[in-house]
Amino acid sequence: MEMRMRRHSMNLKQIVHWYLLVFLLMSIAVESFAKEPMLIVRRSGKDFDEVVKGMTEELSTDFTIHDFIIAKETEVPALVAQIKAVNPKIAVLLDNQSISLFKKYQNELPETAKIIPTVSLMGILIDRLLKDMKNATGIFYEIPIVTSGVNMRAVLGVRIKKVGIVHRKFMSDFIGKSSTYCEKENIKIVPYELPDKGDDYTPLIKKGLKQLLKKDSVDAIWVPNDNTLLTPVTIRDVWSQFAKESKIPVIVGVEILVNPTLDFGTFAVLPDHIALGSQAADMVYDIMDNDWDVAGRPVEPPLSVYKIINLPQAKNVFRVKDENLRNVDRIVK
Amino acid sequence: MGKRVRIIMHIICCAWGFLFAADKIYVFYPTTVRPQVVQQNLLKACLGAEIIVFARYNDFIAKTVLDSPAAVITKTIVLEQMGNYAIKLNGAFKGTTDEQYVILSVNEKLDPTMITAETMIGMIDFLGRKEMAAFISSFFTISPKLKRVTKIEDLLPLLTFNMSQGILISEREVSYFKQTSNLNFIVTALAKSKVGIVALGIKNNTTSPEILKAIKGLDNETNAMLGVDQWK
Repeated sequence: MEMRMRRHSMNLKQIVHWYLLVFLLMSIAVESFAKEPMLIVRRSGKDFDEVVKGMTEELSTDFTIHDFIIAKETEVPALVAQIKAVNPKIAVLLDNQSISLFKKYQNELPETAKIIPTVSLMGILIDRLLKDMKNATGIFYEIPIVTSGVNMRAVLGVRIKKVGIVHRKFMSDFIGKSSTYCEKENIKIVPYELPDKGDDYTPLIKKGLKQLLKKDSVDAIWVPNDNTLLTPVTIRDVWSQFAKESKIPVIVGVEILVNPTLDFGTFAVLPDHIALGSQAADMVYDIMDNDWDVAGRPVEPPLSVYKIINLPQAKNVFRVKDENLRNVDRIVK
Repeated sequence: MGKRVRIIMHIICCAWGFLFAADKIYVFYPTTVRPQVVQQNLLKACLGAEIIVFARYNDFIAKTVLDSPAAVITKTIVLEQMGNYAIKLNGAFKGTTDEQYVILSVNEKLDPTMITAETMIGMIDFLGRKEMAAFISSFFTISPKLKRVTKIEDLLPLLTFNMSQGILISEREVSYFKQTSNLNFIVTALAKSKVGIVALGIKNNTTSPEILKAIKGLDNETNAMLGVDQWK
């Protein structure tokens, strides 16, 4: 009798365990079915990880996120395999390589194929990349000049009425658009354009900076993130020399350029990658609410920035107040 | 300072530190001052306590759920929604623990009665996506679209680039925008929009008299960072 009761109790336990297991599996299945599948296409790296973190935190309750990390040699068939496996409602593309890869995939689709909406970020001058893509929008990676100028003006506490820019021709459009917004803040942009192609930019940059300072009397210089104009040689022989002699603040977009040992950049304004991910997540929700149609949604500027100051230069040359440093993210000593 | 005085001071500091030894205080309060600066100031006031100041709501909530700190300092409405912390102190400015919310727009007044479901309003995210939508709805008869940002200064680009018709901020925060930007700001006060400034919450069914004492004794500079001039 006792044996039979024990066996009965064992069976009951097993049944309860099975029910619990089935219930658990069903809950997981229901949850994943209720969520929308989303594909992220990106390379590996810290900045990418931070953007994905910002996005995931916002989207994970409503989306199942598939993170497809590509390499230099990744081709369209690998992307097609991912799309078939995930069947995403939306794709988020991080940087030029991912955007180009997706563009190739989109170009190979038949005319009648359903177009997966995309949000692209971390690409260079992204509006141009997205021009011939369908159902696509994104966020610029370039920090608007007005954002950098206003932030530096507030931190340094100096008058900034004219910002000089030495740039190559391909950036003219971006700088032209920036002028309109800068005017709202009583900041005038004074550009000095260089050709897109050239053998030696050193004398050209030097001439441009001299003209901006002497003839145009600019109050600050904004340095574009252009590797052709920012080589170790031009930084040493032109940019740093100019910063030392001119005594006007220099805004840069790369952290290393505010390193006090270079004595070049005064203030660096960079994208806040986690916030960039959150901003992209907001766009994803907007597109979902619009039945997965991007519908002419414009490319947005990045809203959040990370500010770094070169303290020795800011103190010695511009007498920055300690209280103004409280809203700087990083102070380099 | 004599050697004896230094030893006594050291003993007092150690004893004070011992009182806080097991205490963690997590803080989330969006302000223009960077979290690391607020954290340094609070650490000075609460010697020995482990204090972390978070810049983002998501990080604050995730870590609070994980670590269950002894106390939290955050916006009153955040604390009210957290549930497992009881409000023990409220931060006050000029005697009042609530503050007025306003709409800040550029060039044109944004009339609250003219807001539609298509109007875009920018706001700092201090409750997460769904709860922020509910929070902003409470101010208007029709719920506008909401653009959330992480930091107060991130609201300025929304106005500069015409990405929102207005931003919803506390009246106290208007001065930051006027000092930073040359835009032609128009301030519109919202009727019945008093919201608690900041509060200290202690974990339910626990007491932390040392924390209460330390927060009540915060210096003017730290209080100003939290938008208050006293705690009651």
